[in-house]
Amino acid sequence: MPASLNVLISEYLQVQGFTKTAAVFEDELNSEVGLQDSVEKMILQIFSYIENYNLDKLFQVWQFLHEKVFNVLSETQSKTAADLENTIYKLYVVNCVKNGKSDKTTEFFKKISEIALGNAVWTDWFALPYVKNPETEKTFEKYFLPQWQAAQIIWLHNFLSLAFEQVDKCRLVSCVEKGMRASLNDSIASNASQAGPSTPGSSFETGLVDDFSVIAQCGTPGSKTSYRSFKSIFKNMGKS
Amino acid sequence: MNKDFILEIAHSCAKLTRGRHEVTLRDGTVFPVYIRHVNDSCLLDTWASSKNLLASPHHKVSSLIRSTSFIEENIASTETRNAHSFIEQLASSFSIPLLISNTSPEISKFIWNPPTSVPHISPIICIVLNELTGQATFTYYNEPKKLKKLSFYSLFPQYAPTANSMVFKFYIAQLLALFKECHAKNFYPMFDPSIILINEHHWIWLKLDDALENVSRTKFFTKEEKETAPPTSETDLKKATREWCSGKLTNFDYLMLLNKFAGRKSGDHTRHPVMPWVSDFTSPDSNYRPLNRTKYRLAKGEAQLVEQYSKQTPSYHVPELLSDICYMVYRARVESRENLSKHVRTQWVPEEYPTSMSRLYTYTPDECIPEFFNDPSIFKSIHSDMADLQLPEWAPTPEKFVKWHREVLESNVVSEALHSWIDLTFGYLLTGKAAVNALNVHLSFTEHVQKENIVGPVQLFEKPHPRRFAKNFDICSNPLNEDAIVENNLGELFSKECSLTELYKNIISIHKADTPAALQSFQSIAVVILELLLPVQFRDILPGNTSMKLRRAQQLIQHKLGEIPGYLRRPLKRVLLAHTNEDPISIKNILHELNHFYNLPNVMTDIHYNLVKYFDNDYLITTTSPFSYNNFNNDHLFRNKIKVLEHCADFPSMGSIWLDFFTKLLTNRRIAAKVCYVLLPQLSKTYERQEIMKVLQPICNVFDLKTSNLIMVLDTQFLINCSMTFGSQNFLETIVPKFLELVVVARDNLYQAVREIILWVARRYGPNLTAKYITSKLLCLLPTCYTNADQRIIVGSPDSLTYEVTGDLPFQNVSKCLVEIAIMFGSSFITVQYLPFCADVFEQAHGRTVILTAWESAMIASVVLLRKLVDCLTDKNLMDQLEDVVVGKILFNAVKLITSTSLNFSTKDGRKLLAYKTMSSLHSIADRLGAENVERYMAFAIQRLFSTFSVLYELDDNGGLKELEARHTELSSIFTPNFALLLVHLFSFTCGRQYTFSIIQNKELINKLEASAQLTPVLPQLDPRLRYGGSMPKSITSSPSSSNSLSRSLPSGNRISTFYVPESSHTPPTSSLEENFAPDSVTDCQRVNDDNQTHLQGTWVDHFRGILTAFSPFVAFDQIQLSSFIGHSSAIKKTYVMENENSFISASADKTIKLWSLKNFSEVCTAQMTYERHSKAVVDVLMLESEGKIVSTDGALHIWDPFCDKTLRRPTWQDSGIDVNVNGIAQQNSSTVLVSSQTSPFVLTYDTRVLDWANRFAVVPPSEVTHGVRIISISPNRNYLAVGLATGYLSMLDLRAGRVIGYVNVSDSEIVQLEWLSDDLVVAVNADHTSMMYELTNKMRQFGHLKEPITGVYTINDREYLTLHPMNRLRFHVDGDYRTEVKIHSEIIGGGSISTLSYMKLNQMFLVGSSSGSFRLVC
Repeated sequence: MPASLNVLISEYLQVQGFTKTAAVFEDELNSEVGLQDSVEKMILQIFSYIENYNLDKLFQVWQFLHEKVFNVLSETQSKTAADLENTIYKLYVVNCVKNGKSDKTTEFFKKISEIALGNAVWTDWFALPYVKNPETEKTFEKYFLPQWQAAQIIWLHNFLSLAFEQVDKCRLVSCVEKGMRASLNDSIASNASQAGPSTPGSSFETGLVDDFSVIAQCGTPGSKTSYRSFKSIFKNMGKS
Repeated sequence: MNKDFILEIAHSCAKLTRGRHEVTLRDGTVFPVYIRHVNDSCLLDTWASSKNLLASPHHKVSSLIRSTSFIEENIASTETRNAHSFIEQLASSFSIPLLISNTSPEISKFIWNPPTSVPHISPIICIVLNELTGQATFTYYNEPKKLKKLSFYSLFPQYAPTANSMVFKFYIAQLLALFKECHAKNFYPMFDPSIILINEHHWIWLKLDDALENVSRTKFFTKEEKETAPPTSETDLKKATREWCSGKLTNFDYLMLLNKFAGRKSGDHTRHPVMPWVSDFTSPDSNYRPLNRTKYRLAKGEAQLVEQYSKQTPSYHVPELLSDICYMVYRARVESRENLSKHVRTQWVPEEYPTSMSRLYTYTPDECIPEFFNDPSIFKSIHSDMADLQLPEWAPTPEKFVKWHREVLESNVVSEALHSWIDLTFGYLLTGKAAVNALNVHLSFTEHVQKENIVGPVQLFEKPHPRRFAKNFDICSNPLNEDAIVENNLGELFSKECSLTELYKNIISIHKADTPAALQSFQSIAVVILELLLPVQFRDILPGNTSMKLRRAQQLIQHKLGEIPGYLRRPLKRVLLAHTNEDPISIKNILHELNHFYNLPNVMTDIHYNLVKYFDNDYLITTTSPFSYNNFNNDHLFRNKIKVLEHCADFPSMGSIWLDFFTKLLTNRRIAAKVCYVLLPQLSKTYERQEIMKVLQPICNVFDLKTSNLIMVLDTQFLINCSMTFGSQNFLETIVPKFLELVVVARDNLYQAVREIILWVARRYGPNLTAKYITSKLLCLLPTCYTNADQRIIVGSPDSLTYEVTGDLPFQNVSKCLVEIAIMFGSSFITVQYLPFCADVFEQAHGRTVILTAWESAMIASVVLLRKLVDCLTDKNLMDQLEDVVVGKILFNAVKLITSTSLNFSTKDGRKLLAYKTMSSLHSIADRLGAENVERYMAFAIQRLFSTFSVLYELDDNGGLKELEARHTELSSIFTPNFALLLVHLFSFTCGRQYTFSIIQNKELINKLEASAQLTPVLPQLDPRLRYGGSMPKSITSSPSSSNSLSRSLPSGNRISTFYVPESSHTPPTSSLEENFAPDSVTDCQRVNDDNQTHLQGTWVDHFRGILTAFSPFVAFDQIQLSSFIGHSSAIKKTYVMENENSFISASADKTIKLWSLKNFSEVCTAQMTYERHSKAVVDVLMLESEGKIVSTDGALHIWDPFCDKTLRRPTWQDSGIDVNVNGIAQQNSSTVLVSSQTSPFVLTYDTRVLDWANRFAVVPPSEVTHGVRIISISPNRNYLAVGLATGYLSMLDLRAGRVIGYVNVSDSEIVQLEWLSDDLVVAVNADHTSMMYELTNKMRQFGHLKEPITGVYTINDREYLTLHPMNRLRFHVDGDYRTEVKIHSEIIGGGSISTLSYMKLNQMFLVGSSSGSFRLVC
């Protein structure tokens, strides 16, 4: 998200009287300096919900991801997204068990049953609250290993990175960008009106070349070649 | 479509029945229409419920009013309304012309609403409302498109797009758009999958009359349910099952009902209802058919099914439930002969159809059909030559048989076992393990569904079907028992009925909500979506019962949430539970945000918007030119469609939908060329290679004379695009042959264009590939110039050496290309490929007794070509080839064949054509050779020719000519007196008459024949040629002595004018063609043989010969040096060969990258360009070919355009403010690369299209953070990334899911190379010369290692790879086994060791770079 947009939003919130929201917004902006991108923010958010046993928020994050991020993914990637979701919930419940939060564990299974019922991935897990030492139980052993958790964290990072890359730009961002570009174009258009628009059918105008033999035909190697002589390459190629 | 026209159609359609018709209009035009009716009662129902349907704020007494204040008035006026005003309003909302017809045309009323296209509403020409009957006739355009109902997907979900796919989201977007469209017209139908139609492009259509009928049906059912339940509920499968169990429903009726629920329709041969066979017809009261096994299993036997299942892929037991063949055979007596021929056997053999019921039963692997239980007419044959179907002896008449058969079906024995059959045909035995055990896995349920037309069974029950009680069982005395059945066996998924509060809320919400009709209609959309998501859950509700479906959906959304994809959970819940939810929806508020509400990707809106335009053009095409689909006037509409698609092709991940649109447009020959030219570049950007391969064949078909503007695609830019899109090999193997074929048929400008293109392709791909893919094909095309009878029509003077036929013109076209290619690459083409081809043709004719047309044409083409080839050879080359090939293998063989008495040609004209063409070539070659050579090499052939006359003629006693008896007709038509004269002239011309007669044995006979000839022979004028390389040993011009012996004395040096008697009438019409071939002043011969730098020379000729004659299937390596590339002063670090193998890139430690072209086939080459902007040793380089960009790194990443020599970007990868050194690059897809660094645990992707960084992949578990990446390598299918870490660890990443698949320690030293041998096999080579192989399944598995110390490994193709060992030894491996070893000559690597190696698989050459900077091409 461009920095200028943050300013715009902050301004909007204050003008409209959403002062509380504006304050929180400012806080968040300040606290997140140094984070590379939205993916990292999102992941830290998820882990903070896990560590603070905030299951509802965790569900909300995933709902958001499903509805606004994962909806652009391909079929196979959507499947991966579903697997990943289950894995994160497992991280949550393992964290609960590890820290002896049995009430949170029970709450978890109660809430998750809505989507986990009939899902083979979870069949064994409903027994978890009743297992004494799940760390040593064969079914759950691996989930308590730090290696497993590390691998899942890498997965979460990589997958969210993939997904966010594909997601449509936030509509507000694209609106603002469009608006800015339009005003920019207006000023440019007055200067250079003779530049003709590209017409369909001219898609080869800046076409493909995959043959180095044409390079020698225009100027000595290494010299700067202007666009005009580049065009003449095509003419030559057409002839040859 | 103007008003009068539509009115006329309306009048003619008023009385037509439902279905397709052709209306003949007054002006004689025939207009196809499609008629559907909505009848009176239905309309009345519709009207009664029309407050749910239409609302018009303008119409005071309108049927539906949006605001509550009008409801009272509405109800009050109900009695006075009629269907008529409702239709009128509908017509005006949707702008459809309406004719209200009465008994006489005078009082008919025509209401003109100018027709427009409404997205997703099937265009209607007009509606005719019959005032008397109340019936409304909907007249549609007769669409050529095949439409499918959306309910097809709920019955056969295996063919449906999956819930997370873009196509599914596209369906949702369209349903929402359809709702919006109806909403705008205040029309609120209840949607159902059974009334929504889809075309082959997944575009949704709604027929308005369907919508009307659906409403009335809904009304009907709701009424029924509230009042008394019908005795046999057709709406509720569970109820029906219960009734059947208790004996209230007969077996027959119940089975018919099951068929109905399964979407099987009477008369549809793809899914006609099925019934069980119940008897094998050998006895009237025993020998029942076992119902617990499929008929297929009974017919084929257990063993075969088990065997078939284990061997086939996909594994299945049963191909079809009721094949169209069986259906037709069953109905053979009543189906038309055409139908039977179409489905059963093309040939009509009435005896092939089973004669009796018992035979039929034994014959068929499929189940029975209802007709055998209720239709006596099916036994009576309508065919005169086919007997009636024989009945068992206990049934004298069909009626009695049917009665008996039905009784068996209803008998106790069958009733008690029928549930097993239902399990097999409609029940739980269709899927999962149960199906495997029951040998009942259907092809249509396997994963690899190939054909959609195999319509398999539909599973209605997931649990075993309950048994039926015997008939005498008194169910009334056991009511509890009945309930138990329901509970136990049907598995109540929805045991919770709506609570009373819910019901009440439901009722009041109808009154309270401002738009109840709109909400219901909107909810029905959600129900449709849910039905597509969970089709099995709706199978027991018949189409159209929307209220029951809504209730089911409301239950499902609460209990099956986990099975609904994440993005749809909340929106569906909110819509379906609108009345109970705390979070109510208001359609008005979300109407403009519907896609957003349903969480569809933003692009959906754009896609839909564009496709609306696309189909709008379709509509205009239909309406503006109803009489001819391909009309000139609507070309601009097609152009609009292209424009829309051009825009759409940018939208990614829509599956193959754009390719399907593209393929569809290609079928229109008038625009195909433009479609290709404009859209292919777009599509190739959106789709990866394996997907776009789908359109390769359709594009090939465009290269056809019937395509208009064909010349448009004969364009180098377009073809470069093709070759890059499909890959060089596919391009050469599939597309090139198509325009090669054009050479034969193309004329004039088109021919010129094709020839230019062929030469361009040849130049682009070089001699090896030209010989393999172009000239070899052209040579094979030559015979086709003389194959057909119409190609052998004589156009020159017959019986002379200018014996020209129509086939000569295409022949010249083809041979001209061959010669041009020889001019391009030198005489090796002629001596290594063309001449051997001609020789081969005659070699293969050897030993045949009959010469077929194809071979005959090949021989004709060969002798004609020979003449041309000889013209192109230098005297020295000619003398080298003369004795063995030209004369020995070709000319003499040709003479032998012509003169043979034992051979038969295809026709006598064929033989004659070969004879004259041979003589013509002989003449030309003899002229070239000169007398001395002719005498030396051809004497035998001359003798043979002349002696043949003795087979046909002899001199009688007094010196007269006498024809011999039993003449060979083919021979005698050629060897006429005229031919004798011609031969004498021909050879005298070269060698002199004296010599000629001195070598022939039958001089007197020939003299006599010569004298009796009637025609003066015409010898063609031979081009005075500029001889190349001096004259022949003895040129003919210097042998005037022979001329004295000619019958007519000739002045020397002027022979031609004497022989050639110019007659204007004899000037061949093809003379214009000769002009084309007049060389500018330089002969072909000179051009083929001069020292052009593109000509093959030295070792290149050997390699060229090697490729053409290679027979080993494996890669050869003979250490022959082809070229060396001069310029690098330090070790070659990396080479990249372009896919087309005409250019390559080298990166060196000397800080430069050089670009090379393989165009000039010289031994020493210099670079085309040197990139000098790197400041350190270059470590990695690759090219994104479709983008025309090179990515290279010396630590800093450079992205540059080689053709403009311009650095586009030097992106820095900063980590905590420090620049990171890039040490590895790998191409991820057509425009992005993966980049690695020694100091980072991440691998980054860089998008060269937007010139910015994209993803970050973490590749190492956090504990290893300190170690960066040493090397990366991407799998051939680009799904996996192998990452070698500096510590000797190997990490494997799934790039699609972002998952680390494996992480292992390979060795203690560094990994120096990672090479993928296939998509799932990777080799890691370590610095200590050890290696390890890993196999990728879903985990990483150690596969093996090479025992030998190894320094590198290189994949050659799917089966072969080679390994590099210390001391520059190369080992070749096939299928993992060691094959051979080669030690590289030190001169090839300039004293260093091999540092890079690339194999050019099309050209079969190796590029070897060494640590000394030497860089060579070797084969």
